Amino acid sequence: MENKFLEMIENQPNPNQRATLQKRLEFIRGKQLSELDPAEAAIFVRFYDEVNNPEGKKHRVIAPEGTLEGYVENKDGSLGSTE
Amino acid sequence: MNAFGDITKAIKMIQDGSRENISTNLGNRHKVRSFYNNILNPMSDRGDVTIDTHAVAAGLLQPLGGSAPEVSHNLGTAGDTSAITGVMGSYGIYADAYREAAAEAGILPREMQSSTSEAVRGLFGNFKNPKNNKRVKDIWKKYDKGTISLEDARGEINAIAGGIERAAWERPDAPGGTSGRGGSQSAEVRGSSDPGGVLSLGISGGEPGTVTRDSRRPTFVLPPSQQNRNVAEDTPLGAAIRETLGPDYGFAPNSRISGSRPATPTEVEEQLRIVEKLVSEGKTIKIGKEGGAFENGIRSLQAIKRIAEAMNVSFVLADSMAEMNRLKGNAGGSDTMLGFYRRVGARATPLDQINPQDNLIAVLRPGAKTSLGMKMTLAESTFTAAHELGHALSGSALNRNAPDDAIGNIRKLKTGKRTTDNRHITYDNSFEGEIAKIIKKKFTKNPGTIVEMLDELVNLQRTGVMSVIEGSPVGVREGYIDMFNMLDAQSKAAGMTPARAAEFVRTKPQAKQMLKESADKYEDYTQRAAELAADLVGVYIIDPQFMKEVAPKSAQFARVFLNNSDLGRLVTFFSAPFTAILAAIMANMMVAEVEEEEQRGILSLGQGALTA
Repeated sequence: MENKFLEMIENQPNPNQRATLQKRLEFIRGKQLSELDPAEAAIFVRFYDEVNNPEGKKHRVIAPEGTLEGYVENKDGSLGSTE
Repeated sequence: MNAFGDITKAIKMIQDGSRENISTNLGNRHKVRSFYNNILNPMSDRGDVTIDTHAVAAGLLQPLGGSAPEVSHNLGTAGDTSAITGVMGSYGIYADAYREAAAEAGILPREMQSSTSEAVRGLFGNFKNPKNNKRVKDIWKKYDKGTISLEDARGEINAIAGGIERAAWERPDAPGGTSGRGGSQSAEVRGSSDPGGVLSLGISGGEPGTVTRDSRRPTFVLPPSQQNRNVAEDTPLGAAIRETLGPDYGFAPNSRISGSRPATPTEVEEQLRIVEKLVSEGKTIKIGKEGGAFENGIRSLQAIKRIAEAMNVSFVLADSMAEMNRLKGNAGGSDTMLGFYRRVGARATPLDQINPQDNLIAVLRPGAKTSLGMKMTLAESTFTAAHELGHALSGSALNRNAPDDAIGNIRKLKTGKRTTDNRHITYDNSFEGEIAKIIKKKFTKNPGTIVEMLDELVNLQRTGVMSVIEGSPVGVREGYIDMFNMLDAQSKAAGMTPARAAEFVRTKPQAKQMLKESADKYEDYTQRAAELAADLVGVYIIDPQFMKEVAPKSAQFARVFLNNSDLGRLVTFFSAPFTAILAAIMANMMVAEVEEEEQRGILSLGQGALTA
């Protein structure tokens, strides 16, 4: 998770943003989710999902009846991304 | 970082689920708050609708993206806002437009939004670019100048965009595509044509126990597709059914359509607020009173639910037929009721002794599937709820101190034969008991003119269609139109022409016999005192003007007994000046008798004021 977070910090174009996130990382390191304030917990949740969600950025079609169908595809047949 | 901000808000709401905290973190944007409400309570009848980019694009029929001025104006990120009213941008205009369109279609606003959003995505998904956007705007300019019609403008846009591409879930090749969806019209019809070509009617009776009042359509459910069509006059098959059943039966479903104005979604929402206020202040809800909030009836499902709860009757909007059966104490069963009222003990309970543990109204919620796969409409759920509330009111004690013995020698309205069927038996000191007494009186030597109200009620059931909400009228007893629909579908499935189907019903003894037996069985149920009472009260609640127009004597009867009872503290029924004139003519012949009975009724309702 930390590596993913560091990767995101490095890719931030705004140096102020990079510094803010770096500070956040220091607060989060070594703590459990229950120990974090909501803003820190949000970072934790986001990166936990990035690292552990097997679906990745794929996402499924939700039919009108509420059932989960196949993955969303682009015109060329490639899988759609949540980004 | 914006994504973190949204997740942060979500975590704050999880950590503190109070209404205030959720409201604070949702912010002031209409779209966000509406989206939250739609997810939290998708079947709400309060009209929440999420107007996003696609909804604006569908509303304007233009290939708009998130940066389009029209979209920014809708979201309130550009354009005017009001700190006084909280209105941001043009959101409310679109929301109201969707609400009005949904009311016309008889669906929820958010259903109108999601279905049209899917369509506009399918229309403009791969079409959106500056050049095409301009082409579409140019078409609308032509319409604005009056050089093309609205229909032409829509047609041109559809043509240059290449038509609507099906949604991913709708494509036959997509996983879980159309194969798993609802059946066809014929599949929804109970019974089908048999190999010998004999029309079959799958009507069966059978409601359990005296204290459970089932919904208006106990055995078969079909969409009200013929809602505004007098089939007995407009179709050969309808005419044949009418002729076969005979003049006494008077088969003419949908021949009397209420002229009352249906409620708008805004009015429906306002009614709930007013009911909440009146109930919390212990004030009476005045139905049909000229100039009052309920002059045209109560058209809010949630408001009816609230009135039931004010009576201490539990009210559940069931998500499925399985839940309906479970609530009825028949888990795993296959009863097909759309609603029921159940109370423990058959006697008429005084209002102040009713408790939610022993009294329950259950109604299949809007959008839930019936046993035959049809979706309940909001209007159907609303009238079903009013009907069940009618059971609760008409089965409760009129006077807390009056005796409530079972009424003996009960007769069936249709035949006059005595019955010991406990589903017909009602108790004294209740409104349904008073109806039972009128039925008995009909078969005495001197029935009096007041029994004519029974004809009114039966005709109301057989022919009446009420206004509920815009675009979604509801038959008082849709079983009659179902009867036509079933035969119509079965004859079509058998490859019969309309003329041949009509001839079949008229000439085949077996078909005639089955039709009559089925119709009689249905009316054995609908003409019980409890059902007549519930329909009278239910229609009065929903559409008082219609009730007073087509059944003035029955309306007067309800006012006499209910308004002067203990129940009148909760709900009272009014007669507007228009109907006072009508009633003066219609009820002239019975006025002396009613005035006399009214006096006796007020003084001693429990003594059976109208007993022969």
